[in-house]
Amino acid sequence: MANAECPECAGQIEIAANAEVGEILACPDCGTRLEIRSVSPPQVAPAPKVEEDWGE
Amino acid sequence: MKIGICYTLVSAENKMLIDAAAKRGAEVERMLDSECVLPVAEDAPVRRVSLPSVILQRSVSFTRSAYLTHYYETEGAQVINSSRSAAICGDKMLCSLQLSRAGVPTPKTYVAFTPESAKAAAAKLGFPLVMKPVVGSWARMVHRINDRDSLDAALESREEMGNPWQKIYYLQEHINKPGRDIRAFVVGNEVIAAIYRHSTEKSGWITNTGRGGTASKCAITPELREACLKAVSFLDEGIYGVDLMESERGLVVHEINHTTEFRNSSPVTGVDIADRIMEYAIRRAKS
Repeated sequence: MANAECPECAGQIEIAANAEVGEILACPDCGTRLEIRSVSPPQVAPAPKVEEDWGE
Repeated sequence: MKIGICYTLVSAENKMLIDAAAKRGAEVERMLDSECVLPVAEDAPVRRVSLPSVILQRSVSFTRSAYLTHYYETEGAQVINSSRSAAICGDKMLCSLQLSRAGVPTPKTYVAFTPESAKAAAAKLGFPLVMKPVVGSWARMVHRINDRDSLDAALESREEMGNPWQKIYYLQEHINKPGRDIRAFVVGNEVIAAIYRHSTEKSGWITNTGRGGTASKCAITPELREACLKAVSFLDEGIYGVDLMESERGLVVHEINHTTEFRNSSPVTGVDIADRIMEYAIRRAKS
């Protein structure tokens, strides 16, 4: 388990050992949706906004 | 054995697929669409990229996936689902047209390109009716239009939007479904699982589980199996989520999803949908 820093509030976000790049998390402090950009070193960035053509 | 998974985000489904591949001893190549740089044209000789023999296309972006799938197919990979199938499923007009022409029971549907012609289409259907964007998902901008005033308001809103797709008016018969519809999962030529999607106070008349609808197990009856297999008969073999409604004239198919989600469906059906998908992908890779 490693920690990344929320780019919005500087809160600490736990990155699980089996986390994947591209996984979406919510900051436990401010609730911002974040995307894992790197597992090692742990880095997150604001998640992309849902686009009109997104879906299943 | 390497299976490619092309995705925008690591959704619950994609993690389940990655886990399923590991259990089956298959290596996964993660293909994050946001990181792709496609060598479309380079100095000769053209450098052929090394791709997995089978790629599961799981990108949530219809537009990105269309380009990526076309590219991968051109480079010789098998993509599930194919670009042809995705193009049909991802556009509600094309899908309704194919369903109708294949003789699959489907709600009456009209498409128009101006507010005036949309009103003429509404006159053919009567109220209530359903208006949907031709491209889009998760029930976004899907409206039940109960009367002329609501139609006028919806059309005016759509005209103000910048996206030209929003000015394609897809109007559909409203089916008075019994507070639920059906999502059935087709893998290859088999219907492997089905759920009822129930509308709730949170979801309103919509049943989408991402909007607050709830899921329960639905038995795969001979009627359901036949309807689903007929619905995908005009598509290339692949993995589909077929949406059906129970109507007075029997089951009607209203949509086919080409990157179907299943996170809420495996627990209620007891079917490991991710494993069935991975088993199928591996079989295709060996064929």
